[in-house]
Amino acid sequence: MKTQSHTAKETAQNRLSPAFAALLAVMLVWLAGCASEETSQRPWNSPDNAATPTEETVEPEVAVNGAPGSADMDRAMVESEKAKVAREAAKAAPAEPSPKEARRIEETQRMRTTDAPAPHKSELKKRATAEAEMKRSTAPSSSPARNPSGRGRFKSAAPAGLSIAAKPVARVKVDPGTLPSREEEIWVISRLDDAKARIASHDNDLPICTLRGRKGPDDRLIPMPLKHTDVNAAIDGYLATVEVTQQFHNPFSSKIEAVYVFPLPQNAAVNEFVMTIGDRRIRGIIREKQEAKRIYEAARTGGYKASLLTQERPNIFTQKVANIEPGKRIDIDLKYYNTLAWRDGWYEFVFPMVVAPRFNPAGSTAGVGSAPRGRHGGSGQATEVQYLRPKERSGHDIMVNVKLNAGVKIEELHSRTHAIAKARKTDERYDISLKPLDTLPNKDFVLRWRVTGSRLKSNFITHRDERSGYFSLMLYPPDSMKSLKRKPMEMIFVIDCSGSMRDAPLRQAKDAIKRALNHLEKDDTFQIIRFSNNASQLGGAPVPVTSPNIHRAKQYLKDLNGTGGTHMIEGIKAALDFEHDPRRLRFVTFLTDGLIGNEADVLRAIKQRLGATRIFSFGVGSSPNDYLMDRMAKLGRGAVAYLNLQDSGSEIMDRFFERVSHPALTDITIDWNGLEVEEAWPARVPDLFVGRPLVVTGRFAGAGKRNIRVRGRLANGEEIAMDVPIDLDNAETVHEGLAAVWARRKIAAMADDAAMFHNPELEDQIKGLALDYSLMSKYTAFVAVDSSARTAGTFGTTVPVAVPVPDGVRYETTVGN
Amino acid sequence: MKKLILTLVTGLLLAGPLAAQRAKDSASAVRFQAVDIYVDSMNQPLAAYQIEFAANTEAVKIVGIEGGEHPAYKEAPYYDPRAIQREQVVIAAFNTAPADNLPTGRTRIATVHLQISGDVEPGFIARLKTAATVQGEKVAADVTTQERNTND
Amino acid sequence: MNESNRPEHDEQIDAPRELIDALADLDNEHIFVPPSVDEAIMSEARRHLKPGQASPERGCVEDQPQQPRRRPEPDPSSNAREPEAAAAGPQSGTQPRSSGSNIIAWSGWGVAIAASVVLLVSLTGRDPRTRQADRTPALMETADMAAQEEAGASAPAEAEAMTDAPAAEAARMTFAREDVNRDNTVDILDAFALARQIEGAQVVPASYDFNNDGAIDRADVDWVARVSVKL
Repeated sequence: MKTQSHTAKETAQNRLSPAFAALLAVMLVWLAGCASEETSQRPWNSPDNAATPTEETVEPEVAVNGAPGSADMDRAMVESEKAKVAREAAKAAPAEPSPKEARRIEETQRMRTTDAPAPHKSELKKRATAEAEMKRSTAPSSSPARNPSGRGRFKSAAPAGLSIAAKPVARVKVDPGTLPSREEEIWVISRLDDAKARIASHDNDLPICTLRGRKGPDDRLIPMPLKHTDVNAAIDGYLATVEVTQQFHNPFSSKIEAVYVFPLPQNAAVNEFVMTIGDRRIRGIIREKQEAKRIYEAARTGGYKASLLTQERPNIFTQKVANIEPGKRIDIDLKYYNTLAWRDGWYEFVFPMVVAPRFNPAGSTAGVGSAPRGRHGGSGQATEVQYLRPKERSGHDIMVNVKLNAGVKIEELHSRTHAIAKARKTDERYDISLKPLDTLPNKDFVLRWRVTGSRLKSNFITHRDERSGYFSLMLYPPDSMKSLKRKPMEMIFVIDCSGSMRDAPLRQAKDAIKRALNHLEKDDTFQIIRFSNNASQLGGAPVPVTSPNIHRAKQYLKDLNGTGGTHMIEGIKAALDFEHDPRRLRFVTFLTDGLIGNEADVLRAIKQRLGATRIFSFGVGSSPNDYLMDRMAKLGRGAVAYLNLQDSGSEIMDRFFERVSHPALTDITIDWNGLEVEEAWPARVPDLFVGRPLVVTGRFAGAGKRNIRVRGRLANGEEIAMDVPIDLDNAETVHEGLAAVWARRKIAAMADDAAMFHNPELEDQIKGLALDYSLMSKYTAFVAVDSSARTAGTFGTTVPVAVPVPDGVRYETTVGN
Repeated sequence: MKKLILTLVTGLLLAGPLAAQRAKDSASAVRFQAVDIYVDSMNQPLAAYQIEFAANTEAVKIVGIEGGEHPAYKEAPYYDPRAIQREQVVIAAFNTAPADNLPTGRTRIATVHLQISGDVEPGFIARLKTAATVQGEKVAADVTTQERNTND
Repeated sequence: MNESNRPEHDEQIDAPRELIDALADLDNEHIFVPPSVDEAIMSEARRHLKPGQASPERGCVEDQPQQPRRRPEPDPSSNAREPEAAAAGPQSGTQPRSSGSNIIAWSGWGVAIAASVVLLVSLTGRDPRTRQADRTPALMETADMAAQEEAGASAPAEAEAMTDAPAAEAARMTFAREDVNRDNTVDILDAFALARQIEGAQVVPASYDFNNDGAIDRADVDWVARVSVKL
């Protein structure tokens, strides 16, 4: 039963024989085929496609088996009508419909909306309940049950054959009793006051009235192939195992290929990939990246359902799902491990939800670009994220469930970014989930908790498999460091004044610097450098800490505005290219969202100019580029802090100064006391600051209990040592994800070098390691093909998943600029 | 006018075969094939199996591993991801469920999704390394592979 | 077969001494055949004798399970005659034959006895799994691999030793660490055996803590399974 691939071209050619007529026909068919392919490769909503026959096939499905008149169908029909009108309009104005035609669209929308019977409030409740019930019934179970071959793998999160297009459910889940009136249905940006009130009361379980993610009366619902994302995280100590299910569907009437650019934590070790079609689960294969792409393309063009996961940046991935038939659904399950951060006494679990728009300097093409929805290729970058315009909404929502086992008593637990429901299981264990009203994926989910004694009981975790033993050691700074006085410092603030920082992020950054100025002591000096398209600074050299200088600095800050591009290299040059005063510790503090696409250039520039400088990076905004922030701090042997929109810049700066007010423990060495340790990362142990632990991950051989000794030197030259007891045979300290975490760390270290400096050998080494450990990397990718059946027709239209701009980021100054 | 017709005809004569070749190449260069692996444990409930699977040509690449038809073996089996890079794989699974919840007779225990390059007609080798009953006792079983017709 | 069931006329067989001794020794051998193997053979036999096959053949096999027939279309006449021939002794002579043709008669006996010996030896003298392989084509490859892995276990003497003192023998043998079921092969059955022991709340040897985490659990089962599928 050999598979034969046939194309229309081939078939046509085989059937026609007489020479000239046949050749003529073949030419026509071939030309038509080329034209068809070209058209279908464009995004469905590209203006270039507006008047093509393909466009006819992307109308939202209206009635498969859903009840006529449902809210979704109304929206779908409106969109369909809009699409038709827009196609006509595009003939005259390809980019946007004219005002007249826009009015016609709106008129049509009103007519459609009026024609459709409005759902009764009780009906809405019923739908919400039904949806909640469906989610409950299909939610992945954490129990491995009695399925030995399953080993706790992902469960299917969807009933087979679910027709998304026709499913008459409310888009937003509604808590019974909190159903708002229609006037309240507005798409509200997260409010700082609300967040503060929730934090202050420490009572996130109470219903809140902020209706995030709700579609307002003026909002347009844009059909998108990504319907829902499920995140199930299990946190054990400071290691998280996260399973992500992305539910793709096809709300259109012809086949599509969905393309979704999404973020994951930059230290995520992605090592499982499953494509679920109905109740069939096809495990993807890790392949060399180019080979995986070739396989995927062949499957896509051949009409097979297939998926491809590639890594664009360590924290940005692209998911492609080919040949999703109308009304059908394909789920993609990912699994990753990552170590969690411990910042200022709090552990932090972060799940990023949206890739923020990034600035790419002119001439660069390998970055991550941003474009308005429908403007495929508008950014000119290799990777492109399309963004919904203001007042546009897709139906995509997200649910996050976290099972937290801290290992010791949890003193405090909250999320400043999202409304959460938390269920206490024991003093050490909590179950956390997003509140139903906070499921719009437009900002990072951040969960923080503080434990008794400010540190975990088990700070040395291990795992053994048939290849090796793996460990991760979290070192906390010694209390003795707090009593020592710091050296004078030369503090350089570098503030990002680009368009993406406009308003709230810039305000926060200014507040943070103002606060920092108050912390400076008389022997210190300081400098403020601003950058956007270029860089300028407060003074020609760092100025002493005097009242007039502080006043002048505050006035300088006041006059700063957010506009222009993010030419970070200009800021780096200005901050690092002047002579260092050896009597002082030099700290360069970057306050930026880091939303740039040329991270490699920036990191290379830092590495080349660093010298004795320590770099601190403050990630500002709701979705800062944590990969860049972390790498900058790592390269600069400093630290990183994140200022969320809900955070107080002053508070964070207070903590930062508390940290740098004590000298770091430098020249750190670890005596492993007979433990055979190899390939520990980071290879060079960085300084240890108060409030920030040091994580070392490596391979080991050995067993039993022992003390390892950590030695370091204080600023006054005094050498101190601390013993860390470890137990290699303790079941409570075992975590199966450590092998992947170790491999990921090693890959990250090699990739850092590879990104900055060309070294072909490194590429091969990374590739080999990633294949050995089934890990995503820059050079490897997951591919899965369902070769059991071919879908009919050509491979359909490519539909990029457009996402909302992150909470607090202005569309006009980023994407629309 | 004559020149125009001549040019057109010449162009067609040249472009026709080129287009045909292009279409043929794209159609025959790569194809995909699902190979179902069946185990027939006769009337014994199948509680465990281990099978070695490979193709007899290097033109085959494994592009997906799928579980079987019976709920006990629905999940993709154990396999060595590194071995897959060499396009061969040992797949194995077990289930400690009671006999009533295990398959008997001929059952599809896995499907291997493949990409085949070129016009080769690969053969597939599936060797049963072991199979066992609920009590862990080795059991006679047949292993067969069946290529699924994907042109449907 | 015990002594009382032995036909009296056996002693009077005028057959070669070696053959008689060989037949006598068969009774003295204690061949260990695991119940699972018996069951496998029986199930194989049942599979071949499932309803739909010719009833005379089925009846014949049930009467004489040692000699299952596989001919698809047995000749009714020969079917009727063969049992008689097998049961007939030299004196009983139910078959019509020419007088004085002792050579032919003894030749018939010789062939019958030789066939019996070959059959018995083939049934009892080889590794049980190899016997299954004879019946199941798909298992032949498995048996080849298993035969190499278990060459020692296939010898009758070692099989006897295993029967007499399995614990002592097991203690003498060196097994791979992951060879939970002690069959000299690390495969999925080891993971299965460990999983069953854990689920059955049995006492599990500490040596099965493969990942040295102080607990024997699912992670150790996965360890064994991963090792078993490595090429």
